[in-house]
Amino acid sequence: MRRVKHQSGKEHPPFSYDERTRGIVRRAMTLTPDESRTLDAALARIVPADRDPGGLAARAFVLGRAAVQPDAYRAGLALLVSRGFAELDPERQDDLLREMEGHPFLGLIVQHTLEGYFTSEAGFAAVGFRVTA
Amino acid sequence: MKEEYDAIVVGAGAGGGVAAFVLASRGARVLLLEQGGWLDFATTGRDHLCNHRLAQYGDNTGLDSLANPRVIADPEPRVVRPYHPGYNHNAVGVGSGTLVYGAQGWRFHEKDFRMASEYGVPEGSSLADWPFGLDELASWYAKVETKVGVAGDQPSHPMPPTALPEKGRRLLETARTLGWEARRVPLLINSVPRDGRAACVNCQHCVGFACPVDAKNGTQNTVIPRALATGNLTLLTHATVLRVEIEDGKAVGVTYVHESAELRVRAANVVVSAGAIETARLLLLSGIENDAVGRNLQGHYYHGAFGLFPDPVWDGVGPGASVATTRFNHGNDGVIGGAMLADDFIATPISFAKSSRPSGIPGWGQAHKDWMRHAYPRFVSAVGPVQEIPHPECRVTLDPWVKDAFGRPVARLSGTTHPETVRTSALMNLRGQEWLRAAGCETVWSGEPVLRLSAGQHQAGTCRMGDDPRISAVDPSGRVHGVRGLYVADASVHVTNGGFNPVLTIMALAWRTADRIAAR
Repeated sequence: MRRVKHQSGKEHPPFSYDERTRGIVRRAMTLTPDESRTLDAALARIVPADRDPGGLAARAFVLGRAAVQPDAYRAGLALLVSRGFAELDPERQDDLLREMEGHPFLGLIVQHTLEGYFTSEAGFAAVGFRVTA
Repeated sequence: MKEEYDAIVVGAGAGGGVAAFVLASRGARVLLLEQGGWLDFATTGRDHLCNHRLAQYGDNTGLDSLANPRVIADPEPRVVRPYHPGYNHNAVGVGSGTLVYGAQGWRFHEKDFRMASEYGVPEGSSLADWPFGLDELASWYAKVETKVGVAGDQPSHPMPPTALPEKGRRLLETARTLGWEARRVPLLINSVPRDGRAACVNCQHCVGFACPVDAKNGTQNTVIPRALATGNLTLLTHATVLRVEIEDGKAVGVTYVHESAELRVRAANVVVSAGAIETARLLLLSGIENDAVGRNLQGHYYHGAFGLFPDPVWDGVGPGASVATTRFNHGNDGVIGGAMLADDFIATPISFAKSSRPSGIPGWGQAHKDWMRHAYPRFVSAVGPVQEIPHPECRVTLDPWVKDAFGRPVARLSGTTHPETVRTSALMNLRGQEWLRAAGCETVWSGEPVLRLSAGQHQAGTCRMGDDPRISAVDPSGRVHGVRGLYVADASVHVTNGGFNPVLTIMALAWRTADRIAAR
């Protein structure tokens, strides 16, 4: 993507989030290995990778949001870990997430994954959003 | 004590910026007090999650979130911060909303000024006529169109319309086939270089963001700099007005806080332009006892339809609001008023994901991603600001418990618009659907209208204009009933809020009120 020179004289990349949201991204919840594998597996089902990258593109953003509400993430991931989520095949993983419809943690992680994904270059490319100026 | 200024203007937004300009150009010594600072593209950025279209984690202008709460009672009262849903926030800074708006520069329809006469007054509503009609305001509309700068297809517009995107081309052609009046959306945006600033570069981040090339015409880059150039205007930023000082039935100045100091300044006139919520609050905090102050809070429900063309139409040609029909602003069988319907500004992908998914589409997973990939480039909308039917109990009052950082009661918002608004909105959904189907959309859907309090960035009505001080707050010139030297110049004075974006009307009325003050 081309860079645009603006009235301020500063070169400005066509970014989708700036310092405030990067502030979110600079924080990160620290996960155990089990939690980490489970989170990655969940991100990959919320936005599956296909010809475009998937929800892993939102990982840093989600960890930043998780740092703000670590208790909700810890409890939610524990629930998935207890069901062996990371080891299931994708169809079973989807079934398990569908079982959780209405659970506040599913709402939270879906919201944060979509927010991270659709403000990333991967999300832009997936839907065809292009910044021209 | 000596008067230091001929006029103090409170708030440097659409109304206050224009009022300060008109007064200063007519030789008055003016002090403009703004609680925010100077903002521009570099300082407000392009964060897709922190802007005035999607304020998920704060916005890109604005107030100190903790120092300025409000209370919304819907109906249970709760405390809300500036970027929470329910706060109904406006941008804070020089230019206010005009820095980040979509800049639709519509004149109201002549029938918008006489709603009660046209339709009668539904039970429980405070629907009323304005004290004057479109003909009275026409010359001031024309001044704003020229001096602030509108691009559009009407003879009064000084610039041609901005580039037409493909979705707009299809809607325009369809409306003509259907025999509906259709036109290019008038925009307060330079379509050609003008006034020393560049033309629109058709980017994808217009509404909610500042312009990267400063082609969007707000008060911060038009009338306010011109007012400063006269030498008659003093602009003080980061100055919060605590109250208007009133002595013996006359406004004599204001008390404000700047850099932690509480200061008092005297003037012959005070013009309050703080937006419909904060203007009402400031008058109430200043001891104005007129019962009309704070009532009839209104904004705009947005209704119409969303649709998907069979083929991709996304060409990224911003700003995106390009073609409108005014066929349904009035003359709709069985409902009161109506709305201008138009396509919308380009949505960021996350904004689209959050607000445009029809029921039945999963919220995550492969099906959701497939839908996003399919729908985003095929998407079109035909929606508009539905003329609200005001309710006297939809109002701004002073909260009895919650205080701001200065110890003043915060605004409490309560009530809803009149239920007739819901009926009109439902009909606009059908008309929008009709347009999109005729344009070739295969999938068409709408949002269900719900009775609620509506104010937002189109907030209006809380100091309505009228001759009768028992049911209006200001007289037809904009002067607060019963107080000499105190005026309101923002959408608070709107008796009704039209079926259009209100900014051109706010500016035209502010110009008119300032002319009246200067002529005294």
